[in-house]
Amino acid sequence: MNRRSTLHLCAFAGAILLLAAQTSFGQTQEAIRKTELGNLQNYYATRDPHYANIVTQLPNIQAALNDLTSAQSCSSQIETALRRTRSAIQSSEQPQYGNIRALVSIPGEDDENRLAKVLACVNGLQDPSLAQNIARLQTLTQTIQEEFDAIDLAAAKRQAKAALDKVIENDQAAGSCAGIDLEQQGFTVRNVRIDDPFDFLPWIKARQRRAVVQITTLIKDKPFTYTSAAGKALEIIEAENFLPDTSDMRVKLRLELVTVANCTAGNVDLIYRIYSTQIMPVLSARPEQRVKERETPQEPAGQTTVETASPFHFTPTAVYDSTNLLAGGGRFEFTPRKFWKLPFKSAVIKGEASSRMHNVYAALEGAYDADQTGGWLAHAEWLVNFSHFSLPTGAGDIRGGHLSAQFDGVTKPLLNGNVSLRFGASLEGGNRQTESGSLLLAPDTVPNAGFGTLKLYGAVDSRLRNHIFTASYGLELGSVGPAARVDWHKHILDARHQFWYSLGNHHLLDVESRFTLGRLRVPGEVPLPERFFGGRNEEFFIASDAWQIRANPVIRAIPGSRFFQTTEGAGAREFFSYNLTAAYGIWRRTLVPEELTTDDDFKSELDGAITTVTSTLQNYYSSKDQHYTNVVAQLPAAQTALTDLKNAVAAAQTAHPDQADLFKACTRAVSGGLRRINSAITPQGADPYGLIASVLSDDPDEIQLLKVNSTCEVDLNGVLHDANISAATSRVETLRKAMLAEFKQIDENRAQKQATNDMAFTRRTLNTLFNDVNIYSISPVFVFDVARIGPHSGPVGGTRYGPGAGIRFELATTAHFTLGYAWNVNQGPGEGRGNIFFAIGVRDLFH
Amino acid sequence: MGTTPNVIKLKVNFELNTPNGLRRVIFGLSKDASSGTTVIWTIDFQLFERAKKSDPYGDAIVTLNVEVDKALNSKAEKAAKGLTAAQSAHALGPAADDAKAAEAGDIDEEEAQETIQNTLKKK
Repeated sequence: MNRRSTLHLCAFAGAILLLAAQTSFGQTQEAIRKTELGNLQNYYATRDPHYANIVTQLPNIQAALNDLTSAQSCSSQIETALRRTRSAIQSSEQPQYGNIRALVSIPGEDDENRLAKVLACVNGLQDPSLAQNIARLQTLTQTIQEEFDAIDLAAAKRQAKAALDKVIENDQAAGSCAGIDLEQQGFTVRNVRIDDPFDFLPWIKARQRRAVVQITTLIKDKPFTYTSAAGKALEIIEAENFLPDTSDMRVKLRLELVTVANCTAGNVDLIYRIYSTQIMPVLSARPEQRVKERETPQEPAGQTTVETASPFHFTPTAVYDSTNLLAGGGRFEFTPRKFWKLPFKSAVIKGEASSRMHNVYAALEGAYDADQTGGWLAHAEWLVNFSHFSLPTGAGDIRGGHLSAQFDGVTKPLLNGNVSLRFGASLEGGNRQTESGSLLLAPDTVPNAGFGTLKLYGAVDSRLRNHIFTASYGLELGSVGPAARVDWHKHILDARHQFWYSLGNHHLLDVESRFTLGRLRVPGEVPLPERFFGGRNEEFFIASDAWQIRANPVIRAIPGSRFFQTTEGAGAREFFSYNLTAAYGIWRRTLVPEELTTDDDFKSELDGAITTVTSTLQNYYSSKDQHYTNVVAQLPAAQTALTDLKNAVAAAQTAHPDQADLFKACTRAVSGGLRRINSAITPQGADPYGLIASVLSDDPDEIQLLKVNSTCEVDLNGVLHDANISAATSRVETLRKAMLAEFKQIDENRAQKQATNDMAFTRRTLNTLFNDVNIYSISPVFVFDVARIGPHSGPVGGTRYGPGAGIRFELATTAHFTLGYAWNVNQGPGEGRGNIFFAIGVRDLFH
Repeated sequence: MGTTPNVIKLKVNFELNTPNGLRRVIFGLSKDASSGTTVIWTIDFQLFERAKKSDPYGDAIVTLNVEVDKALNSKAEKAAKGLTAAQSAHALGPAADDAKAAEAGDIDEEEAQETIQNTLKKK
């Protein structure tokens, strides 16, 4: 019996022995553990060398006791001691230990002491015929007593404790597959599963089903083999391509894991885990994107823009407040493979409407993604849009409709990869109307008018490990009617900060702050709806989902657009608002299983994917260096020189048939170099930068020009002394040195810095997606708003405070909603005491 | 109740795109810890080409699987944490060049496999 089995048996025996006691006497777990510990301690005592010495003496003791059996008066003591001795001889480990322990004297224990009791009895007989046998037993008893006392019981106890801890740990991990060679031990595959965190998306589900069917046929209920389970099955998964190309430019990574679990009764479950994502390098620095990471992580992870996805997208929404009432709506998007010959890639209709309000938007949208190696522009968007709205103020509605055309751009990351810039312009034309009601007109304000505006706007974005900061500024120049004059100009500043941090394990604290400032100057006149109306309703400076510049004072404690009364009349000329939303995820499920997010290998390999893209980008920037261009310019000359050398070597070869090996080595070096240089001049499947780096290197593993000199000039021509070969080799060597000198001057540090900067946001986004994002979470929410409009006097206009609380539920697979209430602490006329706010967004119904 | 799964194979795919956007190399590195006593690293090398950037990449034009020499295990372990610039240049340059040359029959497949494996040796 091996040692491991023995340990298990010891612990098992202890547990069985104590089971009855546990049942009968309600013995505690601690008592069970203590007894098991004692049992194991005895086992380890038997491993002590002194114990072995006792065992060797047992036959002698048996013989000595047999020699005393003539002492009839002590037959009882002798017989008991003999029985203990025989049992000790016939047993091993703990039973043997117990019998030996019964033979010797243990301080404080008087019930056994069998040898001492025999000696006491026979010595009391005073029989000279027994003296020699008694002396012999006396000596043996003293010997084994000394050996027994020398056993290191403290060490045995330590070993027992360690072993028990191990046994408990193993018992807890029953079914663990750790350290088992499943193939060798004849396990059978019980179940097959493929895990992909985005398997709620239909195209991923379809791939998953197909792959599971194929893998099940291949391995289920069959003997486990590593070739099938980890090799062929993974090939099936790869063939399904769980991360197809997207319709936009992204950095891709794919990680696949084959895992085994539940190794019980000779069966094992196989779980294939796929973690793939594709990130838009600069756009992930926008706060709008961060909201999506939280609500619908599949979008920033690039799982919804894959070319195999449905061209139709529809996400229903609903919002409620006590002025707007319940408004339903949604966002419908059609993204065909080709938008006929128009420069657009999608058509979008979105909006919400209730019996009291509506806000609708229809647009044709186009976009351009520069590849990673483009210039300073990373991304551009353009759209043609029609909007119409009617918002209740409680004293009459403000309405408007307009057509707009706009263009926006985003730069690559700047300032060490910490900042990117956005810019844009928009032309709008339409009308603004005011419902007749009790809205008082401010000076220079008209209730209804046609209008035209030019808007110019820009933003700075930054994304750090746990922060996103963005500040947008917008300038609006407007005129009443189609005129080339400025009747009003509006300035908007909208700054957002988002902070998130995992407290505990993926319990995310999410804090969003937003500060918005607006000023309106009216040298001519302005339509009333162009003034600032505040409340829960949000108005945006431009029509874009991807860039939301808030353009009115938002306070969730005041429903609709009821915060508008100033000393001038309806609609403010200036405002600021600050909105704080803090949420803490108390219940969540992580996007990536927790055992992986805490696995150092997994984390470093994820990071490695971005490192690899960065390295490739670095080579691109190196290839833009002027010194690299100088190298490339010399390639044709090197090609000619190598061709000349090849011809010279071929010409000399027939005259020297005895130097075949030297010719072969030289020809091989020349042909290899020529192949690399030909490929670098006219790429056939490879990137010239790597080819040039290889051919100029001094790495002996490479096909390099250095070998041409050593094999042709030094080795071959050292024997031949051929002037033509010497001249041709010299030309090759001169060119090699010239190219190498240029290549070494390429500013690699600069290239590396540029590449690192370009990928900074991507790296940070990847960390967030894999470490901070939950597939669902429930969070209590605290809100606090401050808003001020002017001009003001007394309760008209001025500052309002709106503390509140609510709950947020985000389930990437289905929906996200927020429900809460905010109090209007110092309410003005017509604003109400507070507001219930509710918003729900449902997952894309076509997904 | 299930037990914590044990990883027997981990594969990370590095996608390398050439600057002109017409070629793509998937450099897959897989770590096979099947028996628990030996680790086998494999490189799955795939080369894709397309005529225009607007075209989708079709099937790989070259696929080569290379079992990494055990002497290079430590380098494979390191490479799995991300390829360096030199490794990326080698994968997209000589490795892709030789992979295609082997496909065309200009060189032996073994030579191409060795070149691909040499990617790990680059610093």
